[in-house]
Amino acid sequence: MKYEILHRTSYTYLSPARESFNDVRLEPPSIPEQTVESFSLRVEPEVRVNRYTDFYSNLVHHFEIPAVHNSLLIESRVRVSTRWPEPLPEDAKLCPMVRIGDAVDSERCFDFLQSSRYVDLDVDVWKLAIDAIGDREDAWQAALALMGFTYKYLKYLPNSTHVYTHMRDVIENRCGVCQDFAHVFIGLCRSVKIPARYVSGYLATETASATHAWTEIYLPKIGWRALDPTHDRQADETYVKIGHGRDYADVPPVSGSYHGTLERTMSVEVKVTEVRGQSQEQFSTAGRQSQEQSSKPAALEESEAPEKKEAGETAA
Amino acid sequence: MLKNYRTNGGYDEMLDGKTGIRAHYRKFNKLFGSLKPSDFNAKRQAVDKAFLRQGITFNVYGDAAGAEKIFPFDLLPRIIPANEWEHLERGLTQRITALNLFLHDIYHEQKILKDRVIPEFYVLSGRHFRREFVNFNVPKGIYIHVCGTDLIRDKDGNYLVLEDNGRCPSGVSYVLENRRAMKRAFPGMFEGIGVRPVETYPQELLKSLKFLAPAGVADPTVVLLTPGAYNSAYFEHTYLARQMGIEIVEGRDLFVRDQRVFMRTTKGLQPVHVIYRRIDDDFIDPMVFRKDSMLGVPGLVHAYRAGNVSLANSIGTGIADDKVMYYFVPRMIKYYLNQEPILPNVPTYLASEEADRKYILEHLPQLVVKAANESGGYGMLMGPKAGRDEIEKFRKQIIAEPRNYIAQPMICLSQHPTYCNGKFEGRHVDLRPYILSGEKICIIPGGLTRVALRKGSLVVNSSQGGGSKDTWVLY
Repeated sequence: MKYEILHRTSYTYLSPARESFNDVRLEPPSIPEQTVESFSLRVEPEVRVNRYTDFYSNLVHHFEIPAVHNSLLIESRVRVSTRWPEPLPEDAKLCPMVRIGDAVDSERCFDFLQSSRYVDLDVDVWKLAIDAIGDREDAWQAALALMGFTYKYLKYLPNSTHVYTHMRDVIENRCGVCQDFAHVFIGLCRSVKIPARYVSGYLATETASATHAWTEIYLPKIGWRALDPTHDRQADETYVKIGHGRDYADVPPVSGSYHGTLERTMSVEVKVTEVRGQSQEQFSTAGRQSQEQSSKPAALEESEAPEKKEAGETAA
Repeated sequence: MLKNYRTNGGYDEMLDGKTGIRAHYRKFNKLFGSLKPSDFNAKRQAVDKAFLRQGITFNVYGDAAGAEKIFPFDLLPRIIPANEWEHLERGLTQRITALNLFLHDIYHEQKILKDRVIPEFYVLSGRHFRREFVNFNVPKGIYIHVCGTDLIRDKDGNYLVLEDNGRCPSGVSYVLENRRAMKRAFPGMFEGIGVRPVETYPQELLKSLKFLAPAGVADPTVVLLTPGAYNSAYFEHTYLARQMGIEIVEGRDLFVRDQRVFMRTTKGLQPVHVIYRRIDDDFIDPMVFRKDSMLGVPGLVHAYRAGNVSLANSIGTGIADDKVMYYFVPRMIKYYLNQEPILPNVPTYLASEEADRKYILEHLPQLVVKAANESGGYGMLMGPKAGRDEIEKFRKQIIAEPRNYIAQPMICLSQHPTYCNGKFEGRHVDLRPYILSGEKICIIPGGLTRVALRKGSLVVNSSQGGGSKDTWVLY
């Protein structure tokens, strides 16, 4: 499949902001599952943009806006073609649970087996995982069982959580959006030693189109496989990956700091359009306004916060 | 003066149980012994007053009785003979070389991990391992530019390494000020005895900092970045900046434009090329590390990444400070240099290794337990001196978080005659030499001798009731 993706984030500050430093993770990489044909990033006010690769090989754009400004626009356009990764049969026996630890050692999965900013491994999570797996002895089937469990255990509820919601609160409240589904699923997998990482990207379906989050698990000899706990299915060619990390904290679409007011509005628009030969068909548009208000004085502050709302667009 | 002085077990720096005063102390003893008690007292008081007047102080965190204290100074110098010093120099040079190679390796190919010389787990789980800087080439390939390595001596007088401070080691200003005070108090003594000078340190430091300047900058601007007046080492920051003739700045004095760092001055903006930062990684750039930091400079890390500004020490050296990494330094020396360590470690147990943990938990009352990422004597259990409650508290912490703890046998530090309560008594000492890595490695002769002023105490940290002595290295 071939897609054109437009992702536009704009901030309006109620009083001028300055000294804004930003890292943007919006450029999808070319990997076996997808080829990026073109990518462009537009920032207003106009500034020079630098690009680097982070520790997890994600592509990051960095820019600074020192001057006083009332609004900030970040707009990316991607043209990408995806390939259908052959789905694995659900009853395949790929790696016995007792062996999952072996290859993990050599394959540098350390980071994806630990607690991280939004994922905590504790006895309660481990118990949930053990019960969900039951008597399954294969790691692949165990992972599918954990995904199914996450899907049933949590209720998809837009705006029920925010971008900094920790996995343990999601487990307690049993609702959330795709980011929370991914975090819970990651926690369950890691607690039974299945390496799991967080993926941010886009999902093009007929009903919704927005940024999405899912999970990749690692199986010895097979490698990383993408599973989407929000939909209880394996990722297919409708998924476009932007990047991965230990959890959301490693791959926020926009992060940084600025001097100025916390009172600002943010709007996000994502359009994923399927490209078919010459004709272009537009699936859908998602956009939303969110308002944050605070009486706190001007301070250094993260500007990534409302991104979660955007992720919440995906309907389960 | 040492008439009633008794050595009481442990190695005494000045006295040998059999032959009396050690050879390298004899000249000093002769000159010092001719001093009348009243003269000695006058000198002592003069020195104390001078320290107070000059504001040579440090802060104690969590002390309600007032933050700033003078660092108590003892007039009796610790003397190191030339042959011992050369041994130390060789050992420290070897160690810093291995540490810098190690840091370069774990932030690049990670050969030492792939070859399983050090388990990957310990590095990747290190609180101060900076993933953000993997594959980043630091200026001139040097990570630790200023290192303070703590040395102690066991009961046979062998020097052992207690820990490496590869982030922002402090204390060197006391080395310089102690020497100044001693020269004033005993003007004639130095030449007669032949003591190596330490006064060149600020110039050597500046030289190593300038060496780091980004390519193409002929006359680099170097600044010292301090967290501010409430930091425990603020005196030292101002002192070193003054001695080097460079600006001392806080985060708010600097800003980043187009990935270049500038300093606000009364004469307008001035580009900055090298930052001697006395502020931890966590606080250096709120954009990348701690978001709540008001001490750092937003965008600094990206300027560093772009190669437009150099930092000393580099970002990410904290992993070498990790007390668990300390355990592996002898292996690093073998791996990278194919040499035997010249200065051995203190025997150490890692709580994350099952056999070691078992041993630690069974022998807590005999061991010294240290948290892997604390310094200044905080987060430490002295088993033999601790109460039952404290031991149990540590037991729980070790079981909950084994990666975060190491244990060592209690080493009886060497002792040195020290003036206490109107007479000379033995007090335990350690030694922190300062190692500079620039174009070449440079160690100022001696270092900071810290002394535990409480009788029998083995904790020399200034925050825990320690004092200091001038350290003389002889020609």
